[in-house]
Amino acid sequence: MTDSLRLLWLTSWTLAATSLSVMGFLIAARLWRDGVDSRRRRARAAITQAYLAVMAGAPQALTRLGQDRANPSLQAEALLEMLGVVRGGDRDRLVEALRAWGLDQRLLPHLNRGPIQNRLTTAEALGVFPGPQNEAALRAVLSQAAPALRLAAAKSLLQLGAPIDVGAFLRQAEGRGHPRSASLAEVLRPLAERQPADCATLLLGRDLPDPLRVMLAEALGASSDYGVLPVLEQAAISETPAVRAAALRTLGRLMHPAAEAAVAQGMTDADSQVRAAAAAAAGAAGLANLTPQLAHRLRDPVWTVRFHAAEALARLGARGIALLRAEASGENGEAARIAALTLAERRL
Amino acid sequence: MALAEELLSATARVTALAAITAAGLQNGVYLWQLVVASAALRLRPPPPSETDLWRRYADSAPPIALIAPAFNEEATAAESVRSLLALHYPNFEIVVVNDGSTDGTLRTLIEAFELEPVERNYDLAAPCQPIRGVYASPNQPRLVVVDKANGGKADALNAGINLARAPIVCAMDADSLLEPDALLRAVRPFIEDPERTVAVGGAVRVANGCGIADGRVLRAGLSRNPLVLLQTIEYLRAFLMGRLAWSQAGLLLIISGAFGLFRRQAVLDVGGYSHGTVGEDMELVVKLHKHYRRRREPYRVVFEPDPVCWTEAPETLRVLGRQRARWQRGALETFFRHRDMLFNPCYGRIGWISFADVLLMDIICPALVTTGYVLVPTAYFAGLLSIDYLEAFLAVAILMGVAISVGVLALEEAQIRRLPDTKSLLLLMLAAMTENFGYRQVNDLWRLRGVWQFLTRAKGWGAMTRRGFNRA
Repeated sequence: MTDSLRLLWLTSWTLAATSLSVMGFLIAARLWRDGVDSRRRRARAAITQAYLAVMAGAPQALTRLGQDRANPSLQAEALLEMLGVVRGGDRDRLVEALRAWGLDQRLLPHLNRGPIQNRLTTAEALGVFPGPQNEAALRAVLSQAAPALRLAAAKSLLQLGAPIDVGAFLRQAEGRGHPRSASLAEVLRPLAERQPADCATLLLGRDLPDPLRVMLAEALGASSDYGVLPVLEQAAISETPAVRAAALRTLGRLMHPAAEAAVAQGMTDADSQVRAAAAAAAGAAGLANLTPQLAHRLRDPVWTVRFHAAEALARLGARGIALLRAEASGENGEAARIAALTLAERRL
Repeated sequence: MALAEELLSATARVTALAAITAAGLQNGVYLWQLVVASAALRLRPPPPSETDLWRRYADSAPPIALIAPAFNEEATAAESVRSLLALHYPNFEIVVVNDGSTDGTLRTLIEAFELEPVERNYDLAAPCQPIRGVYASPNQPRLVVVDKANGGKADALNAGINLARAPIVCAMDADSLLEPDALLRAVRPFIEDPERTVAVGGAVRVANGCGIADGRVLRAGLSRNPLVLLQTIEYLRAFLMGRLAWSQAGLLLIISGAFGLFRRQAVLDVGGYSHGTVGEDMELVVKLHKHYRRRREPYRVVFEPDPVCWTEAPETLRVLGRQRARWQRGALETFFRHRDMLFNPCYGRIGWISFADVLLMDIICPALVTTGYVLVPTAYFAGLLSIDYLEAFLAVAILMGVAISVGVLALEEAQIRRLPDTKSLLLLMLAAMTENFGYRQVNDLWRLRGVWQFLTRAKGWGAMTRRGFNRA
């Protein structure tokens, strides 16, 4: 027993001494790190000044950066920050000057090595410099493990106008087992605009999980391509409620009268999220013929459906508003309440 | 006589061993947390800058409704709302819930923001006291003020959630000061793993001593009040170490009521915040665990160390003691309300580990360790215990505590680096060392007071005197 107690005593002293030593080292390191941070801030400021000078018409300012050139990730950071606020001729001037100065060539090696944050920034910055070598390097990143890096590379490729195999891209993401980021939608939207047929085929296919099919259905709304209507109508009767709901929302965004039948069917769906999506779609697409079905949905047992039905009626002009007013003074408590509140909220 | 002495000595040894074991367990758990949190922070990339965050996440950031309950906040309400309106987030609304204030809180808000009575469609999905009115202004499209009968914080939050339209709700305290990019940092798990994430908690730091203006912390700083310095270390240990470690293990049982994001539908699915407890923040998270584990659906309750909310820490022992006893009471209320989860295989590791941790760390260990502080030295000086027991107890209870407190400060400096200067670091190191010579012991006493309050069914929050923040 005594030995065990002594061991506890020794262990505690050892841990305390270790903590204090580490802390002592960190305090000393703080002084060094403050210097590093200060130098980094000055280098960033110098780079930003140089970029401003370039945009003002003095491209030779880049050659005066000196040893700051040795830190391409700092350059990339400054570039992305600048391009976040600069447009038009100034932007083009800066990018052209940096390309002539060879920044993209110096960035390329940093795409595949170093801390992940630097690699991310590099991938994002390369999206500004068109060229086959940059495209090839970004394309190679699409098959890498880090989801954020793959997304950044995909966004950069899209920015450069380079095509992406949507199916391969999504299957690679699934194959890694990483969680599906909502940021995927930022890649799928432009892909749906440029390659609506490919996205439509994937939507109806069975090899992608439902959450991705939901994203695809929603992305197709950005395509404004009425050619995808039949695909969305098919998706609106899919087995999965979330896919049905997404397809109906997209049909609403596309605002085509041909969606009326699918939306009407959606309003009688067994799943409340589908009914709510259908009601919202009816209002968004201006499907005034569906006002009787919407009026029926004011009595839906689920509040969200009643809410979207009332909002849709309010959007459908005089006919919908008249119906709401009639319901507001009616005898059905829930329908009357939702109708009255909608009219009051919208001051109709 | 000899027999009596022998019995006494044996009792003293057993008591000492129990106290040593309890202290060892307590600090052993903290040590585990420190190791897990260190590993987690090592593997995390450094937090991106706000510019990077905006560029990467703004387009996919879901709308958030900030629910800000207010009760008798006339002096600070307008400034607090202005600071919330200035948050850097692409799409959010603020729902201020005036919880039956008896001062001019509502009038102040109406005048400050030119609010008018409006109608708003809402569902009474979560239970709350009657809503008397809703106010908004075309000049402030992000702001909605709800006036309701008094019902307490949980009730006010429920009312806010009922009126919110965003898929994510952010529950906060009236005196929480969010950093401008806090929402963008806190929402990342909802973006990166939208299918599973149901709740995210952010870090809470002590605002006393910081330079504050217009409801915003402009300059991080440290209070010169020793009690506040000790709490600063405590908050680091609780959030940076404790919450991060539990989150990494998928065992997080609490998200601070000062700053937490929740999927609105998930909160409604579990009936909203529960009434009748002062630990409504912990109780909500426990309900979420119960709900998803029963349904065997994948889910995540996460702690994010990057987003920061600043809060005022009590500056006197009396107010601090009341606060700590209340926290303890809240934890026990939740524990006993959901005691069926303890060691229940239906709830997996939550039942076996998280709930067992509450039993151990909040009830058993404080009682045994406090007993040890009294009985072990007494028994030693009475000749009933050898020096080995005393040294072992003091080493495990105090020295190990020093190791952990200093360790968490080292973690903060190595991985987070929010302390403004070397002087602050030295001051906090002193606090970390001295924390274990009196402060933690008093904390254990406050916990026991909380246990007593729970057992005697005490109600209410007590008077939480706030001095207000120093100005920059």
